[in-house]
Order: sequence, then structure tokens, then C-alpha cells
Amino acid sequence: MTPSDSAANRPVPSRSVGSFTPSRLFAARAAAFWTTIWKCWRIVLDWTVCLYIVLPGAFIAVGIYRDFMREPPPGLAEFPLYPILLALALPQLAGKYRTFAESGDGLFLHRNPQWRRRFAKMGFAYGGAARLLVTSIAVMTLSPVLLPVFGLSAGSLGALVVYYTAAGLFWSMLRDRVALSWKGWRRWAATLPAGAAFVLGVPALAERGAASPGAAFLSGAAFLAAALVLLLWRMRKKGTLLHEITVENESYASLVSWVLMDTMEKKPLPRQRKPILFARSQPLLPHRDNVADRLADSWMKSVLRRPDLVKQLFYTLGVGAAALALPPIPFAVIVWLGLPFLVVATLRRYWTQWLSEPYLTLFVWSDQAEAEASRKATAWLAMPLVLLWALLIGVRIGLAFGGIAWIAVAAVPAAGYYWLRAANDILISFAASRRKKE
Amino acid sequence: MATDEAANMTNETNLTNLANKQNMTDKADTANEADLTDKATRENMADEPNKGNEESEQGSPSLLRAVIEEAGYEAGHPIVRNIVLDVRSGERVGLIGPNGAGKSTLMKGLLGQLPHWRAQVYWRGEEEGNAGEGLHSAIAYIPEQPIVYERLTLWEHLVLAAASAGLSEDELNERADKLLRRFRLSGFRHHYPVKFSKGMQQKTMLIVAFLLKPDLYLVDEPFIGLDPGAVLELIDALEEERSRGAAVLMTTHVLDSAERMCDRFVLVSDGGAAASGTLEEIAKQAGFGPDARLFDCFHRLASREDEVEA
Repeated sequence: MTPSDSAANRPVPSRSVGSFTPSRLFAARAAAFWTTIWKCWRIVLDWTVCLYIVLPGAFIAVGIYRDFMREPPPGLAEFPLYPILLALALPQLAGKYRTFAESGDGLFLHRNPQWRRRFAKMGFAYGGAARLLVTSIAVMTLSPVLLPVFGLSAGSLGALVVYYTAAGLFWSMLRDRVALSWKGWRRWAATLPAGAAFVLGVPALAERGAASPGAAFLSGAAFLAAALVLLLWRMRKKGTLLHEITVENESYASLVSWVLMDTMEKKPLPRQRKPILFARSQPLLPHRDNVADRLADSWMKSVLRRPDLVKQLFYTLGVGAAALALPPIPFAVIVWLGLPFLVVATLRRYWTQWLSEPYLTLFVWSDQAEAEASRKATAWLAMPLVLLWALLIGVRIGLAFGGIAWIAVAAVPAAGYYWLRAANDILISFAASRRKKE
Repeated sequence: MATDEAANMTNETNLTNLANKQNMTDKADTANEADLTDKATRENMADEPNKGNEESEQGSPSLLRAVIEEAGYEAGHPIVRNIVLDVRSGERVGLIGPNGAGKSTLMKGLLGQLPHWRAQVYWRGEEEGNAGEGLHSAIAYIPEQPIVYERLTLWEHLVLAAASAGLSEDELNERADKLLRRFRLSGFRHHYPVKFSKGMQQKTMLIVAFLLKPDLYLVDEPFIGLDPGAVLELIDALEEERSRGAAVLMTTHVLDSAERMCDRFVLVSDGGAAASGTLEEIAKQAGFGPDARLFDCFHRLASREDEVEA
């Protein structure tokens, strides 16, 4: 027998390689993952940001929370419990079943059934622990209201933590199974109704459980049992490595996409083979032979088809709306005048990033076409946000002053239209002058 | 006329400088006399005294002429040096050579993508700087690794390409429909190319290039990933383009196809030109008769290069 024969006949280590066990490797990878995420966030959370923004923000938030808990609004006791339980259920929709798989696992580890099963179990335990932590924090945060105002016992809160953790675990395993079984519209068709049933059903069961901790524990146990059944199915399932790597990439992208939006090497790829928006490649803007219109059209569709960018635009819309709704009207108007600049600057960053995409750099674009396209495209995409904010200001003015002041509902959006165009022109001219200097 | 003369003088000066540098190098390093790379380069440079706008033996004008002193990714570490490339209208030139010889680097240099690029490039007899945007808008590049944008459909890729070339919607529809049928992608026009197989992505790049009807195709390893049917379609399409007057500069390892398709070859080895010319001329340089196969010539010339290095 040659040395290579003996090597070939050597049994594959089932539980450990040297001192490395599946659980140690899993723990090392999980730690490395969160270290990487932390390092990414450290890019924006330097000491100045922490000192001048994060700490004062946290201080104010804690103060507001303390005041709210010390003196809950008078009528809160009449408030139904269901919306609070619904708010606890929503975070459970987030998060996926993860195994911290890496593409190199395809060489050895993933071909060893025992390592694969062990990783699957570790992923389940990791998901459970993460959900337990998040749910505990959420329930503890709400406990000053849940205990005295709604009259829940400490046992009920404990039961709620267990119940929500188990329900969340079940949901992550169910989503994983759906993702492994179907693609495209079938996956959506399965996920959407299941998600809706989860969001509505879980708080309804929790409401009963709040009255009787035993029932909550029992429901939690049922969810846990169902999650374990799905885990057993998952452990027997072969050929899951690519799916697991996709989940890992998506998890990474979702945690750092905001911080690294301009620098991410691996952008999230579309899941579908065909786009959902503009499925027949139809133009968003009517155009025929104009280069700038075609460029603008392609960019706008590209942005609208990227969920991460659309999400950021929605966040901007929400934060902007809050900034306009809360302060006194004169301050809100000042904020409103600044918001178009913020949106256009954000969109212009997307535009510049898009133009540097390798496919776009294959072609030569004239400066004039580029400038015209960016002017049109950023104005069109920013328009809905700016008009909605303008409408909000108009409604506030109408509510505050009444009568003829209601004309603001039409006048402010009209002014917003021209103000956006001016903001767009100013930023484009500024960018052009900077380019010239460079 | 005066402008032409001035351009010629400039071109001649550039080449004279290059030749002087070359002579100095030769004197200083006579031990390298046997170096086929330098020898072939000197021969090329000596054979072509009229720079950018001379006519070939066949009488067709030079479309692209690049006199490359050195090119690479880092200063002081050239990947490619002392190569003269000459591509005429309607001609197909094959850049052949072993892995890592510098073929793709050469392509990137011609596209203006290299940080270190010392060369004179002439487009239709005019030096690149004077050709304005003419050079880049008249070239279509088909990379070895397909380049697609993840959030645009195949049709939208074509719309963008057509926009860059100033094609009207009618021209786009007519050309694109024909090409999509030819490369059997009609049923995928509203799909994301990023979700295609490698071969389908390569076809996408071919369609984009053929859509533009450029004067020159720079094609990097065109046969990799294509099924046999697509290879035949590619060969046919290139033949049609040749009859239109378009030239092709292609790198490839598939020597049988290169032999069938190309009129001339440049054998790149270790960053330099080991041999160049028609198959007959290459065979002569390799010490074979006129009936020699490109594969045999390649093998012998490459082996000779290895021996010289050793």
C-alpha cells in the first residue's frame, strides 16, 4: 500500500479536525462576522460622531423614555394590548436561519454529513439565542408599561419572551424551507400570506398568553416543536451550500449596505431572472432617440429595481416627514427648504456610482448628455418625496390657520416643484465647477 | 495637407525617438541579440517607417497602429514592451501567445485602461490625442469576462449601447432583433443578463458589440464559454463585418479557429512580440515550410523563447 492509498483510505474525521470542532469553527466564524460588521460601522461611528451625535441622542432618548414610563399618558390603560404585542411580533420577521457557511466549505466540510448536521444545529441554536436576546430586551423595555398599566405579571412577561422567541425561530425555519423549495413568484406567493398570518396570528395568541402564562409557554413549545421538525428536514436536505452562502451574503449586505453603499464590491444581485418593475423593459420616460433620455431612463429603472436604494429613499421620506411634522411650522418650513438638497445630493451620489459601473464605462458619453440626463433623472426621482413633504407642510398650515390658509395644500407643492428644480440646478452646477477645478 | 505633413513629422519624430532608445538598448546589451522579442520588434519597427498612415501591400490603409514602448499596471514593471500592432480595415489580426504573455494587458492598454502606458497610437493615420473621441467611439470591446449590469434587462443593455452610438430606435429594433435571433436570445430579451450562464453572457457582449457596427472589434478570447453553434455564428458575423470593412484584433488560445479566421498574427511571448505576419511568414520565422499549422509554429516559437530565457 502506497502512502497515497493509505491517505485515501483514512476515514474522514467526523466530529473534529485536529482541535477544531464544528461548534468551535461556527463560533469563530460568528465572532469574525460580527467583528467585521463592527469594523464597518466604526467607519462612521468615530469618536466625534459618538460624542456629538450618538451620546446626546442616547441621552435624550433615555430621558424621553424615562419620563414616558414614569408618567404614562392618562388613557393608556384603555389602550388595547394587541398593538403592543403586534409591535413585538414585527422584529421576529427579520433575521434568517444562518449557518455561517463559506464557499470553501464545498471542498470538505459540506461533504461531511456530520459536520453539516452539526452546523445546522449550531445555526438553530445561534438563531434561538439571538432572538432570545432581542426579545428579552424588547420586553424589558416595555415592561414598565406592561406590568403596572396592563397588569401583566412577571411570569407572563417571561412566558411572552419564550413564546416570541420560539415563534421567531419557527418563522426563520419556515422561511428557509420556502426559500429552498421555491424561487421567483412562487416564493413570494408562499411567503407573503404566511408572513401576514404570522404577524396577525402571533400577537392574537400572545394576547391570550398574556392572561395565562401557561398558555403562552404551551404555544411557545408548539412553535419550538414545529421549528425542530423543520430543522430535522433541513438537516436531511442536501445541496444547500449555495443557498447558505446566499443567505450569508445577504445578511452581510443588509447590515453594512448603508455604511458601505458606495464601496461595496458585492452588490446584492436580483433574485428573479426577470425584473418585477418594468418587466417588459418598457421605458419609464417616453423617449425615442435622445441619448440623455435613454441614460436617465436606464438609471431611474436601475434605482427603482434596487430594494436597498428604494429602502433608503423610503427611510429618507419617513425621517423627513417626521422632521416636518414635529417642530413648529416656521422651523418645519426651514427644514423643508433644506430637504430637497439632501435628496438630490443622495440621488446624485447614486448617479455617479452608476456611471462608474463597468458596463457603463464600456461606452463613451458626452458631457452634455451626462449632464442633461442627471438633471432630468434626479429631478424625477426626487419629485415624489419633495411633493409629499410639501403636501405635509401644506396640510399643517391648513390645520393651523384654517380658511384661506388651506390654499397652502396646493401652493406649497407647486412651490416645491420649482424649489426642487432650483436645488437640482444648484447642486449640478456645484458638481460641475468642482469637476472643472479637479 | 499641411496638417497631414505636421502629423507625419510628429509621428516620425516619435518613432525616431523610440528607434534611438532601441538602438541604445541594443548597444548596451549585445548579449540579448538572440532575444527574439527585441529582434521581432526591431524588425517590425524598421519595416514600418511611415508610422500611422502608410498603406499595406494590399493597399488598404492602416486603421489602428500602436507603437508600444511599454505597458503595465505598475511603474517600472512593464507587462508588455516593444510591440508594434498594425490593423487595417477589413483585416483580422490574431494576438496569440501562452498564458500570462500580456495579450489581455495589451487590449486594456489600447482601451486606455492601463495606468502605465507608453505608446503612440494612431487612428486612421492620426495620433490618438488628435483623433478626439473618434477612436473610442469607433471601437467595440468584447472582454474575456462578460461585463453586465445587474439591474438592467438584456434589452435595456442594448438600449444603452445604442444610445452611446447614437442609433435611432428603428435602427436599434432592426439590428437588435436580428442579432437576438442569430444568437438565440430572443426569448430572453427581458431577462437580467446577470442571471444568465457564462455562455449567454458572452453572447450578450457579442450582441452589444455587433449592434454598434464599429470600425474595429477588440475581442478578448471570444470562443471561451460559447457553444459550437454560437462559435459558428460568431465566425459568420465577423465575416460579414469584415466585408463591411470592419477590422478585428482578437486574442485567443484556440489556434485552429484563429488559423481559419485571421489574416495575420502577432505571437506575444513574455511581454514582447516573438513573431508576426501572415501564417506563411510565421511559419518561415519558425523554420517550417509554407504548409505548417499555426499550432506547430506557436509551439516551436514558444519553445525557442523558453530556451532563450533559460
